[in-house]
Amino acid sequence: MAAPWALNPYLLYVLALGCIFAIGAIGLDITAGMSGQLSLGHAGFFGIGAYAAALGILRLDMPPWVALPAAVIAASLAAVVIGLPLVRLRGHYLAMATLAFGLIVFDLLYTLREFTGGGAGLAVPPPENPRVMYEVLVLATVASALLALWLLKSWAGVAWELLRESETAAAANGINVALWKLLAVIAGAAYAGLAGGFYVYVVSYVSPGPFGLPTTIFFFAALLIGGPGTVWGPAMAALLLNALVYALGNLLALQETIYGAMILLILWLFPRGLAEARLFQPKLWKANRG
Amino acid sequence: MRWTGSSSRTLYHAASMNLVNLLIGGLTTGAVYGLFALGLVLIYRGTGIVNFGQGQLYMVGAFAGWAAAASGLPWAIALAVAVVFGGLASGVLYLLLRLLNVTNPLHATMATLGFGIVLTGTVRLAFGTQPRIIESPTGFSLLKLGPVATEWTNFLVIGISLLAWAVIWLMLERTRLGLEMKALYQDREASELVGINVPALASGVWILGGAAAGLAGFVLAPLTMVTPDIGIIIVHGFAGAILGGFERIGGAMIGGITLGILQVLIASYLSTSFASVLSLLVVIIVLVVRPSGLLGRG
Repeated sequence: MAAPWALNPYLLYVLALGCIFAIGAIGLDITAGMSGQLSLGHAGFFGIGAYAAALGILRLDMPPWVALPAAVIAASLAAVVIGLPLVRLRGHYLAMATLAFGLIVFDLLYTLREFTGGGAGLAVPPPENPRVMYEVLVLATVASALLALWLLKSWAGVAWELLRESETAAAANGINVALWKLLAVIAGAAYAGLAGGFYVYVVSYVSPGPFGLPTTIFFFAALLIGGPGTVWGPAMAALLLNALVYALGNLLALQETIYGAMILLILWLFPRGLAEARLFQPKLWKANRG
Repeated sequence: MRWTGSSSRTLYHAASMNLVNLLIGGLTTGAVYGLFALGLVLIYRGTGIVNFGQGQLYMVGAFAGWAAAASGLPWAIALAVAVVFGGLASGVLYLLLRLLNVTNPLHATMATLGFGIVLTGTVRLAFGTQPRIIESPTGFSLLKLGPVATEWTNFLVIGISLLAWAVIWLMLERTRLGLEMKALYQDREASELVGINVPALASGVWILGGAAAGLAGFVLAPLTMVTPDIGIIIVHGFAGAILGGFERIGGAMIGGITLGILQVLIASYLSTSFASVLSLLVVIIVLVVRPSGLLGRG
């Protein structure tokens, strides 16, 4: 735990953002990696979590231990609302519907000015004790990963894997397809919401920009690079990708080109993710894939 | 940046003019949605892939057309440039998909999405975010019919979109190439068995679908603006295509026009925010209640 303040503030900031994206990537790994649900609205849940925390802090004076759970709950509720009508969809159709969901959240962040501050965004006071916040963030990242690994090994993991391989087979084995699909989306959204909550404390400012389609693609890039369904893979990939983005100057046009090109490269070279490639396979991951 | 911006000028008309103008405005954006949706449907019928990069083909067409028009070429030539670049970009994407050898929906979605975002980033790097304008060849001249005055541009956009749709429809119904495309849609392996060159035909379908997107981007440009972010129209394209049944050539145009008209009516009588959410509602309601589309069988 000595790491957070041994680094200079900028590196610390980049590392903290990396942890935030890692939590979000683990969430997507549950929804899309373990369960195979193509949810293109992931950045929307991330945004809902961030704005819920920001509004809770600004309007209701929430302390962090209330605002962070509030972010998780807000994103999960959004997942229930959007997930209930969509559980019957699969593959491309689910992707189209969730893409529309993500873009509409992005759009509403601009249009609901009274709440969101529109394009100008909302400034949020920084946490009283940033050191503690960074510690909590690192702990939360590790805990998120461990929880996801536990889910992967539990009954839920089995149900989700069956769902991913074949919905018909899952139903034939007594799995309630609609319920488990919804749970996969809710779990992923809860992670994205938590990431959004931490984002507010680390950046102290929210605007719609970071919650659009490029961020969803960032999460998918991390998922594909790290290897779907491996938990640590997407988390590590998110940390590294985020560091790369800041090393290159955090310019939107460059980010887009890099995320897109990385996805294409990975699909070409390692269609099953780097975690599956022989040169890069710690025993732990192998064991956890069962 | 904002995806509701695509029809801002039409929506402005909607809020201030009478019902006839409202419907013409809706028909204008709707016909473009229909042409866009047609490209999506062609590609899906031909290769079973939903192209999540179609919006960027639209954007590339609009930028190519703008560059041609800005360098002094006549409007008709600029239009041809937009069509060619939309088709070329789409052909490149198809080659890439063949190279990647994608098999499942996750990889197909990611590859097309990834290609699209690379195009957006590249165009943003090359041209910046400053909005570009393509002037209409009819300028701002109005057609006056009694109390109603409408810009000629609207009719130009509607005419070109419907003409392009009709040409593609005739090609599918009346030519050997169209027959081969239908065969490919019905049974890929049987098509190969009867001697159709499936890879060549499939790339032709992609080029045609991309050309439709490029044309759509160019013709709507005088009523909106050209920025790297206009590819967001894909949400409305999906909604139009799904409304029409997603595999139906006629359905795509009818679905697009229905969507366009609904949008302006809702924008003027309810709220513009709600109009922007409409496409999501259409996608969800139609997919859940009637997955074959409004016109589909069963």
